[in-house]
Amino acid sequence: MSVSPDAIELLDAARRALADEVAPRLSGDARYQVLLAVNAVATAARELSVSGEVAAAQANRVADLLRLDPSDERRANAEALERLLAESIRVGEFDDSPRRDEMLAELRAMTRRTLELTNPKVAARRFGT
Amino acid sequence: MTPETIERLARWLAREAGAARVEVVDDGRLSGGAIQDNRALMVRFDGGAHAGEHSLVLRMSNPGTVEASHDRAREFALLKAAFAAGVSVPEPLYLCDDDTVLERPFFVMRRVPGVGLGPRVVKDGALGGDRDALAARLGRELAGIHSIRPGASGLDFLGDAPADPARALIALYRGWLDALDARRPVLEWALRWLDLNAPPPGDVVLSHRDFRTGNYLVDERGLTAVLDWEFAGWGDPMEDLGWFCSRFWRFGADHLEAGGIAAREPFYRAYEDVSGRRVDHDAVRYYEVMANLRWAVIALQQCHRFVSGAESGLELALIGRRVPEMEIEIIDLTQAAA
Repeated sequence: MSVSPDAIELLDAARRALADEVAPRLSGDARYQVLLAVNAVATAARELSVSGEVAAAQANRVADLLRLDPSDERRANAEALERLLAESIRVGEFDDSPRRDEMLAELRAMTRRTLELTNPKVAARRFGT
Repeated sequence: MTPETIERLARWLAREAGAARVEVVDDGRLSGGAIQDNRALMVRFDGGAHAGEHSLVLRMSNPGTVEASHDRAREFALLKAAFAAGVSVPEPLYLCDDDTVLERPFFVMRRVPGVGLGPRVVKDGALGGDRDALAARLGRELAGIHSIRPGASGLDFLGDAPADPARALIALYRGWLDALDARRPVLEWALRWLDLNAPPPGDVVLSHRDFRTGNYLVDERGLTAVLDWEFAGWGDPMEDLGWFCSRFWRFGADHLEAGGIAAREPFYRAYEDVSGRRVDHDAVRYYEVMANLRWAVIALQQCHRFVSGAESGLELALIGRRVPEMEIEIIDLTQAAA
């Protein structure tokens, strides 16, 4: 069932109310706390907006990086894949090119996408987006 | 503080200073320091070692602490060592290492005027005087800190100098990360790269471990004090230079690679002039990767205090979202070094 406004729209309305109506009337620590809340609400809304397809595509690329079989059921579990990648890096599987370059390129793309959600200002400064 | 607390504090100060009587006025909390509670005090000593009126700071631990931070007794000892070495620090005066006076251990030091807040120091050109001169002064201060060597009196609690400083840190951060059960591919890559590229062990000095914009005070003329000694330990001298130059301490002024205030050159040159030690550019870059890893792990630890329910602040909840900033820097630095 879809409702309107949806979760993202609600968060966006809450963010605007805090940023436009509440924050300008405050100062000092109270203002700081409200600006933190604005940041938290905005981040949550951006993270909720990531579609299932984007997440699945990312998981697939990590699985390819790990040379997992197309039928491997771990492909569906993004968190397990990330753990597996971390462990493979730890034991040195990606020490040397070309796997090292392939891994760094993928990690860079993943981290960039995450940064655009968690801190778009920093992302814009770094990537000009 | 309640009147009773202030009275207890005054009696304790009188005893420590050998004063007939001490009057304390609590001027409230000073900003800055998520980890420590700093209060400004106006103190009038009748007789004794500090007869007269003094502006002091009382520094007390907050209940939750970061894994790596020293307690107040150790921080006090570090301040004394730095003060004796001629580093610009607030003069440490008295330590109370138990909870008989206040609810937690604390020490008092002289209050040094100045602004510390990193973003303000970076953006407000009226602060800190000429920026190249400020960077050079910081280079000289750092050389002074690095003149403190293993064996220095009062610092036994720091333990033996590590035989291999880089790998000792790698082991430390690995342990922190594993204790959180965090498995982040980029941080694993950082640890792996650091292990594969560790510089050979050389000089070991007192490393401040949080020497950066935001942890020193400036007035309109220049530097007034180097603060926040709670993370110091024995290490490679290049570690502090890497920390100072890391991107996240430039507070948005990315092109000013020395702490968001100047180019690296005046900072490096002044450090070399006073320390007599060459700045190893590759080793500094290496320790920038280490710095980003360290910051990322500390951010995860702080976030864990929220996740575990130990504390509830929004700032702690959000700090984990800073980790990708460090991760992208780790990737770029290690790719460039290939």
